[in-house]
Amino acid sequence: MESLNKKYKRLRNFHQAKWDEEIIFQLHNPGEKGLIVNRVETQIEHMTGDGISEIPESMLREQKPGLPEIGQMRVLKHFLRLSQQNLGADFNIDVGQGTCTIKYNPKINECFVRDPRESDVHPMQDESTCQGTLQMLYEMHEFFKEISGLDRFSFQPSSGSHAILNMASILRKYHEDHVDGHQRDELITTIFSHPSDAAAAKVLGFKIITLHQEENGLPSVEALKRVVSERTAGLFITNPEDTGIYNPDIDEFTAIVHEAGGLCGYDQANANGILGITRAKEAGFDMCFFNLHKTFSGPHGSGGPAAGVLGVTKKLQDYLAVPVVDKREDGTYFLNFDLAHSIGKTRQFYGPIPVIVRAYAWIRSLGVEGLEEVARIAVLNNNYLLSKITKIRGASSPYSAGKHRIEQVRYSWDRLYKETGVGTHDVALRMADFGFHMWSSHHPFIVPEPFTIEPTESYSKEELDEYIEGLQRISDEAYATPEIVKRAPHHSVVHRVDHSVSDDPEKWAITWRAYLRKHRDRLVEEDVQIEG
Amino acid sequence: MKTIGLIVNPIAGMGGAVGLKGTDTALILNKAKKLGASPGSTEKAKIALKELLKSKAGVKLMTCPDSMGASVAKELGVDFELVDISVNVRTTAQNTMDAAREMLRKNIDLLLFAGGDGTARDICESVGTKLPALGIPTGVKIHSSTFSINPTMAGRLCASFIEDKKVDWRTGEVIDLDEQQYRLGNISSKLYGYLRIPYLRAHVQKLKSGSPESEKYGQEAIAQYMMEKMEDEIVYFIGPGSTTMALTDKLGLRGSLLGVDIITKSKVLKRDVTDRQLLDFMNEGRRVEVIVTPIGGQGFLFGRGNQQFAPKVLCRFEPGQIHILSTQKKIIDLQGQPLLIDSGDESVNKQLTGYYRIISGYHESLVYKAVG
Ligand SMILES: Cc1ncc(COP(=O)(O)O)c(C=O)c1O
Repeated sequence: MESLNKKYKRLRNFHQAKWDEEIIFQLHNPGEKGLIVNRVETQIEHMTGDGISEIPESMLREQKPGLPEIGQMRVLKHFLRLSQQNLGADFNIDVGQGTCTIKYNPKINECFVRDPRESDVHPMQDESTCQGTLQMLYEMHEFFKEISGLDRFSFQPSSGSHAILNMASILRKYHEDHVDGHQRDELITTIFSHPSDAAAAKVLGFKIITLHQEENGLPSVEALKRVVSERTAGLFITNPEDTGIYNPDIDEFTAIVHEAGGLCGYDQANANGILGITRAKEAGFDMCFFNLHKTFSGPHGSGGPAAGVLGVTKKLQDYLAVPVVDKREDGTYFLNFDLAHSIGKTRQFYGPIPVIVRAYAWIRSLGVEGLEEVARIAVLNNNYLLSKITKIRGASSPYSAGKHRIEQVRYSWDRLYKETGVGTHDVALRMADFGFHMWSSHHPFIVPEPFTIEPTESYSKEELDEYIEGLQRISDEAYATPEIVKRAPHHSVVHRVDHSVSDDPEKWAITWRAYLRKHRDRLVEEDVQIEG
Repeated sequence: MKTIGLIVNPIAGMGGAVGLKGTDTALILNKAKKLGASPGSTEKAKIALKELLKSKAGVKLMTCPDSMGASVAKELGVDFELVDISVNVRTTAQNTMDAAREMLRKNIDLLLFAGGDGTARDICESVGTKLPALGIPTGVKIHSSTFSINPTMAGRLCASFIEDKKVDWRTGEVIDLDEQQYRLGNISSKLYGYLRIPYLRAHVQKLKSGSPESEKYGQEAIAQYMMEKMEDEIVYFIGPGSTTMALTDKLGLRGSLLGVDIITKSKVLKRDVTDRQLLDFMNEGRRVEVIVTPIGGQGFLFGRGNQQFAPKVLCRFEPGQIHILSTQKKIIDLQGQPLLIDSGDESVNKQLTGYYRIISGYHESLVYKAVG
């Protein structure tokens, strides 16, 4: 250990804070108040009523909601403590969450979001009074036309997966509107495309055909030709795929699907390596979407807020979700709900505006050259890591050995596992000891013992070197003292967790109420204070 | 505290290194010894047991005399209980079967056995799916999917089991080649039955995209989809396996687990037929298609465990008339290796080579290559 500590000078002597904080429901203290809502002033009450007695009887609760009663300061402390127990993107060198494009979220963009001119705009107010917001949406629309080459965009989708669902709805509606379209119920995707491409389409009733990869990691043109038919509705594909390999036959793929009468949707959630370099249009796509909470610098707020802006070609422009933002001849902007074939509204109001504001600021701050530079640096960073990581004993990058990758790489610890018994799960937990996060891959694991690294443009060479040292050190440990890795984490607050409960309907609980119901016996045994 | 049984077939694996394809008869065993085969089975059993004993959870060990387990346990200095059987100096299949029966009688929780396909067959014959079992692969022939990928993994899985971690269960196929035929250069193999095998779901990582399917639900979903695709006027030759069995179950038919049946959507026309009977049926001129599932851990589509699909039968089908059913896990476990077609006739193998749409879930298929 001593010698390893000396050898790896970059690694920090990290230890995570532990607050032993209870679940917020357990902080319940009857009578404690977080906020006391004032009574309406008499003068106003006189004019409008008290605001409460007008609520219809049928909508009133019979019982008080089972919410915990806690003072404001305790609530604040509760969440700040929890925040110290995670490894947020602003703490760690967050390159280990490949496919998620964790990059720097410029803090100044928060000022724009919180500017009252933005934050105080009410979605119900008249169009003429929020022209600024509409102008921003319109300009964003123009930016994305340029970035993708497609013709019209909708800001309705609230995430990447939601954008895929929108694409699938358009696909369905388009084929319903065409005579030969009714039997078109098959959607083709690839095994290294994001799982949501298949999942969201399946939700709408499409039958999913997944092309498996060949030895080079890519799906083959021949396999695609074998499965297209008069039943083909379309192709949803990620490119570069989750492996970070760019499919060079992509235009042939889209041509084959078009030939068969299908449409092509491009999952560009991870566009970070190709901004300004390739476009959906030239690759032959009819639809594409971008995740603003990834490539365009929006923070990933633990599952939200997000935005998956969706674009289509002229042929499909009337199918988009409404409203879209248009400009009148007199230069004013308006929300256009009048699209002939629209799939309708797919979220409330007009889109996740704060996420769009941040992305707008980011794009404006970079300009055309800046966006392309983002892609070039992201790719450079990635290939720097690739050349270093593949030299680490036990690590490899399956498929296309010796070739460059785009923005990320799905690596494998298979050799390490076979030679030392230390698998990717163990390495990930040990990485936490140095203040890092390392993620494996989506299920199922196609690459054995996978780990997926995506450095984006944000991290400096020094930081990448620190991360590499973490991986290198753990590989050394695995060969010398594997028990250290297999018992990790040692400096983290949460130790090995038995995840099997999340597979067990008898045990999983996503609400406090369900937790009480399913685990009451244990709580009583442990003498935990339970309310309600 | 859980009780683990250990049966070591000490002579398993001796044929392989010297090119003998198994040691199922005394004659071959002698030949193997003469050719300088050294026992590797014991060593591999030791690796597995050592891995198991690393667990902090307590465990009771029950094993067989001498080279069938006791010597391994002694070497590792672990306490054990002996099953009451007599063991020949040159251990036999009968010894394995006696030991397994005795362990079933004593209600052990899981049987670890070190051997190859022949050993799995002996366990299957004596206790079937009544006793949960897991193979430590030490034999030459491992076509059965009742084995862990290596001895270390077997030990580790067993450790999870005694630590009361949630392990899942599946039925693993026991397949064995007919060794006599094999040494004559003819491949002939059969699905002999199933064992109840524990497995750990692919490392339960952070569940970014939900949990991997359980095999049972996977097979049910596949059956549902295939059922929807089946047409009333078509006759199906349906191959052996638990995945195809899930389909016949869903159709409300009584199919045979280990044999090939001739069915329609609504009835079984003939159960457990031979290649001859398939041929005769084809001459009746009805529209026929094939439903099969890859057999065993090695991804054989034809040629292992379903030899009723003889070249003479297969040559009359186009790839488009062959429906393949498989859970995604089974395909992914092949790590990119194509499905294998070894019908016994080169031209038939070639004819069937190509991409297939494998039905892998409800309204889900996977496009994958099969080569002959
Ligand atoms: C390629 C790709 N597509 C789609 C998605 C889904 O996006 P979201 O998480 O916003 O639903 C992701 C997110 O990981 C992705 O990487």
